[in-house]
Amino acid sequence: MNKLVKNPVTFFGVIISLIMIFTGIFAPLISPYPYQELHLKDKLKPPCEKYWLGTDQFGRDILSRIIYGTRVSLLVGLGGTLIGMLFGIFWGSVAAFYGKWVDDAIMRVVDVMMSFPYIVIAVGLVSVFGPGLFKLIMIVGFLRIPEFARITRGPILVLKEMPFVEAAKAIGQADWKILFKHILPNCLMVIFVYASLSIATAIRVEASLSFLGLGIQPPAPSWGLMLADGRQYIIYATWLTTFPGIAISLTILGFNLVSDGLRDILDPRLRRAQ
Amino acid sequence: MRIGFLTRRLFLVIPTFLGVTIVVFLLIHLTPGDPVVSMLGENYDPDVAAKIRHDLGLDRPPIVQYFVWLGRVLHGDLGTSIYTGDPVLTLIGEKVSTTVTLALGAMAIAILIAVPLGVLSAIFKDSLFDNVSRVLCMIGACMPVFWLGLILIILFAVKIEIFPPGGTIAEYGLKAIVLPWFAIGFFNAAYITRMMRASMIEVLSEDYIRTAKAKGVPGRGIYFRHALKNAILSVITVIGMQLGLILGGAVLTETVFNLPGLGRLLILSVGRRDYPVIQGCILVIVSAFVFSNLLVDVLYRFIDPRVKLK
Repeated sequence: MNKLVKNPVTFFGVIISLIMIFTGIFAPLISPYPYQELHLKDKLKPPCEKYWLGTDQFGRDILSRIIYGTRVSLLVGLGGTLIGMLFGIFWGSVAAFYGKWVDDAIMRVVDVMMSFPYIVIAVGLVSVFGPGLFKLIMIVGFLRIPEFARITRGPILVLKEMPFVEAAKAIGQADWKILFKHILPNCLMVIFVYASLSIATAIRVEASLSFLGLGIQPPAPSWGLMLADGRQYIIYATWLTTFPGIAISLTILGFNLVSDGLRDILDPRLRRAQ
Repeated sequence: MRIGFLTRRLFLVIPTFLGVTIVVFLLIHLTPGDPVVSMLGENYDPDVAAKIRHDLGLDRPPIVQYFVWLGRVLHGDLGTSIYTGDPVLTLIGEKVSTTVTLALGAMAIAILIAVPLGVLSAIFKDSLFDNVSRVLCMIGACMPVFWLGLILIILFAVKIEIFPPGGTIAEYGLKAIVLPWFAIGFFNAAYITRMMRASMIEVLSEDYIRTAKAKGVPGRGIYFRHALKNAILSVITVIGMQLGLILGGAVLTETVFNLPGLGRLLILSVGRRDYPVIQGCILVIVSAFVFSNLLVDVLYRFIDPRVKLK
């Protein structure tokens, strides 16, 4: 943690990510208005003292909707990543540990899943299961599985040849115990680095799907949905598209910087260069 | 030897392509409940439903359905749109040129921006130019492509009215596609620049570059004759992988700019629950992605003599 904070760029990423997480948790306390509250007399108001970031076509406060939108983005980002991580780690570990046909079979499925452009397969899955927060988390989680499987498989292929694994086998420990108790903890950091990057990707996918009308449904607040709504008023109400876009970009930037910082700390070659 | 590699690589694509067809085929079967009921929605009619079920082969065992469907696909028959009644291949054929123009133009812009920027960043590593370029790349990579599209509309279609805010190539000519090109191009340029910079820095630290410097080869000769040639090889692979991002970006960008391409057709078909068109669009986009990766992989091995062609 100390190393993470020492690098100013990474520190900036940590601060952004923490601000976003706290904003999401304490949304009802810091939001000036409820996100769905209509102020019909104040439709499409530009940023002013009463509404810091302006209002939308229904007179809803943009700032409040962005604050509540943080919850949606983080829920999908963290929830999707967690699901992808759990299943990805499992399949990646099994593939690497057992090798041979098990590895071939699992990795061919992973290859097929990774040959789909992200948004395209997400659109396909939403067309089947329908939109909504819970389904979105599941879909994003499902799409993260192949990459986590691949990320996990690499280090385990090396670790399973180590003497401590041989020793564990020699004393007759069960495969699952060797795999999940001895091998996996040694590669968790690599997975966590990737997880912080994955949160950013998941947030981007949520925003994209909501922008296309296939993610979060109105009146729930989502940054992508706010951008889609603002598109119709782009000529005379540019604030509708400007602020939610900044929120998405900042959040993605924050998690990307944390991921870059973690990777720099963990990569011995980069550490030596520094 | 080269032919051997090519054949092997082509054979490796077959299982991937078959896997893709299975996933695309399963899409319709994953629909909770009866997919035909979902497709028809409020217009449900038992006779129409029975006909669609028969046309789609849904009254047969799934494995038979898959092979019948695959046979049709391989013969270029992607089915018929439930919404318009037109053959899916015709619908896709009408839209594909827009998406191809969009993807190729965006890729060209990304390369034209990224390669010089990455090379100069590496040559002037840690200078002001390098730091500004890195910050720009980081911002570019974090901006969602659809937001970048909206910003370009605000700047170049609303504030300065140079380009139309949306519309077809038939209406405005290539002007209609310039902003979408840049929206996707900038986004991808951010990734390629980072790769180009990293690859160039690595090559510049190699012994043969030091030898060239010691022999008195002028800077331009070192950078462009020796370093760039080697550094760009690893970037070629990334460019191939970027096509997936570009095709994903096309789905979003076509929506932002109302461009009637394959991505827009896919999104409209999702709204209409027109599953044969959804399947067709996804299959065409993913096949393009898989085969472009194959092409890049093959090209890479032909361009770089260090890679063994076993």
